[in-house]
Amino acid sequence: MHNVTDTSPNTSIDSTVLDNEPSIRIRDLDFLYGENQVLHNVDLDIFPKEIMAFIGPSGCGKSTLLRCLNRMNDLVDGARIGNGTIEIQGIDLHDKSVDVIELRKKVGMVFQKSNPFPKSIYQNVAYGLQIQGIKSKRVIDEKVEESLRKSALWDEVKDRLNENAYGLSGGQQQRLCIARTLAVEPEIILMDEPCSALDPVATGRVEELILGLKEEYTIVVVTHNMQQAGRISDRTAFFYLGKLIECDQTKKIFLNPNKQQTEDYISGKFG
Amino acid sequence: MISSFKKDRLIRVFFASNAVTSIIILGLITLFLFKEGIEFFGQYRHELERYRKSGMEYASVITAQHDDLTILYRYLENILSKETEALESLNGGGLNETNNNDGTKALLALSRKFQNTKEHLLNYEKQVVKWAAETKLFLLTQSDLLEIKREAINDSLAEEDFPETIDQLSNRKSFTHKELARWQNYFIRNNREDLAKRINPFVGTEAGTAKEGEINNLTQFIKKSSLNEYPAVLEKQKNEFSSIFTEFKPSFILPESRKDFANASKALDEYLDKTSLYKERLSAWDPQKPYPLSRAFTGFLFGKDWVTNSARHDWFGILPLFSGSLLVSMIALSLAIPFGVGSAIYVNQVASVREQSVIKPCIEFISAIPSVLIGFFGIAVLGGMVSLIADERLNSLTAGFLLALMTVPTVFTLAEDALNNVPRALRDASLSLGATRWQTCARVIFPSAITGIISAVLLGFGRVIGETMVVLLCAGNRIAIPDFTTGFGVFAQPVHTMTGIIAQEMGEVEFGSIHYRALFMVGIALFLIALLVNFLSQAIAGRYKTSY
Repeated sequence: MHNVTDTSPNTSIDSTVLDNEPSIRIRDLDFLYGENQVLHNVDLDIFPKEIMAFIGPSGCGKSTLLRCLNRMNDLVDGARIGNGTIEIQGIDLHDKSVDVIELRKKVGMVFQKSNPFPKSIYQNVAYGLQIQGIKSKRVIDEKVEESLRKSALWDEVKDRLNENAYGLSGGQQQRLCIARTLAVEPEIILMDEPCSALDPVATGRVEELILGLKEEYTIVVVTHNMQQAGRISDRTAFFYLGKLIECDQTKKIFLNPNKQQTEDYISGKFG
Repeated sequence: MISSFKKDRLIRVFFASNAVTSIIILGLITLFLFKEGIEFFGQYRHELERYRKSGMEYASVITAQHDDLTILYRYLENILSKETEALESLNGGGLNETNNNDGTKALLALSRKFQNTKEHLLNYEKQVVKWAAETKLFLLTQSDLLEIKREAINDSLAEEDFPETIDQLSNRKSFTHKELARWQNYFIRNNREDLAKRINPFVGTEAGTAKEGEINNLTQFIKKSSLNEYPAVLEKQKNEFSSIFTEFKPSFILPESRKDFANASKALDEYLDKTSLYKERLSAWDPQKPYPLSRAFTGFLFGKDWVTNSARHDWFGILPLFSGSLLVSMIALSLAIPFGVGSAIYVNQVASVREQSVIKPCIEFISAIPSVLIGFFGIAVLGGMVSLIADERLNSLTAGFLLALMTVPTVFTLAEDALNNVPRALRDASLSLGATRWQTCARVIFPSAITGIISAVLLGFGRVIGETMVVLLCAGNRIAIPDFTTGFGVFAQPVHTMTGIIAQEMGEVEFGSIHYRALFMVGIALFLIALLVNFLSQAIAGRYKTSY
């Protein structure tokens, strides 16, 4: 059994989770935009079927780390890993044999601002399947319905699947984006502040949805909203100035953090 | 307080006036164009009426008939030349020239006789044209005289030597040269050189029926001849044709000549059947029948000829120019769209920052090259390359290539803007679902930008159709509707364009003449096309605008 505490002094693991191999294993990660180093020496394990929340003030590197996990940073000019490794299910992400396209199918992403395609609701969900070359209408129909049901949107949109997605409300659009991600059958879902543009009611529904998804998926959520982290996550990682300060059970982080910086941030002394 | 308020107002007025001025100037240009152009239709109707009254319309029917005969004659000539060639090769290069084949001799005789018979119609046509030219001159002189008489009355010039009233003048059937000279002198004595200049006492040709020293209205001769001389010519022609064809004993060297000859005989029969149609048309011809104004409109919009400074009649049909412009534009766009949109996609989606910094300024620089230089290049270099695949150096292909080059920057810049306006979030979303870069481009980014790209293409079309210098230099400037039956050969035909004709002819036309007005009408057509294209591109961009 892998002893996480030895390699990562900031991380302590609940015994129930310890039984599993980590789904994502980050070791000693340095990340740079050009000459500007934004992540320093990050060590972190994320386990299957848990919700991990990344918190921290703006510019602390939490979104960058999230985007490393499905290599979305490849698209940014000058962005590179300086040192260290990221393994997903034991495979090094930056190994030459890794197919980025396959990786992104496995590691889905939901963005801060809902970004449905300017297509119909149906087309939005079907897109991920169509680009894989799936032609069968029956398969796609089934998958679209299943994904929309999982994202608790089916009842609201089943009668207007062919209408443009831009006709939906902000919260519905965000749930549609989640459905779109689910349709590709990922194992890990990355969420970059998924509720920051939503009103409280819509936020509540999305949070409920995320909690429901925990049964099947490993979820990493970046959030600015500490109450949200408290409500939905199993574990929380606190970042500050590109460093992982502390990662622990969410309850522990919020009630009794090990580090002074964490406590200051949680209690609102800075941030 | 007050002074700062006034200053604010002044600044406001300054900027507002800038905007208003440009709108007013646009309005003035539009007004000017229409004011100068719209009179064209009235004038053109007059011209068409004169064309009818003078008998030129009648003459043109006979010309068409004679053209039919000429085609028939060519058939015979063709057979004859083939036969002669065959004969020469039989005789071993003309060793036995004296010992000509009887068949060929007979064919030669037939062809000669045919031509002589054809002459009857030609002579009749010549006579009609003479009468019609005389009449046209008379009509022009009459309308000039009426005009200057009106001016003389307006200016209350003394009436000695020019006592004829307007009514008298308009009822006259002829004017003598003596009279014209007298009227000219009258205006010179009254210090009106300007009016005197408009009378030419030495006009007129000998038309055969007019008295010496007169110009006459000879329409009644033409009308009469349609009942007497013309049927006589037809009868004579028919008899001669049947006699020379029955006398002819065909014996051909080449087997296919028999078939050719049978075709020629059939064509002759068809022609003879058709003569009754011509006859009906000519006897139904009525010089007094007015031309409706709508004929001037349709004559301009659908007219197949643009003929100026013609002895018979000037035609102002926009179709050959419009089709030329359209053909060149289509060639240009079909090249500029793939190149412009393709490079926009590359620059926007694929190229690195450094590549972008090279490609973008280079493409945009093309639009800074003066079009006359591009024209030079077309004449000197591209024309030579085009002549490898076409008969001529300068044709619609040459102009189309160059216009494509000039349009690529427009299409490129606007299409690139449209692609740039697609939010990055859509690209990220697509990529995060496991789409490749090309799938993302083809299925998300391009469709999202399509309205912008369509309006880019439309504005490119507006640019092409309005471009002047290059088409004037390189399109070949042959005024004819491209022959679309030649398939791809249509691209190799020289054409003239709407812009080209204005640039070429505007400098030479007489101010206020019908030709001048016709060019303005072409300008208005261009203006409307540009307006339509702009309107469409805005409507498309507005209608399908997606708010991200």
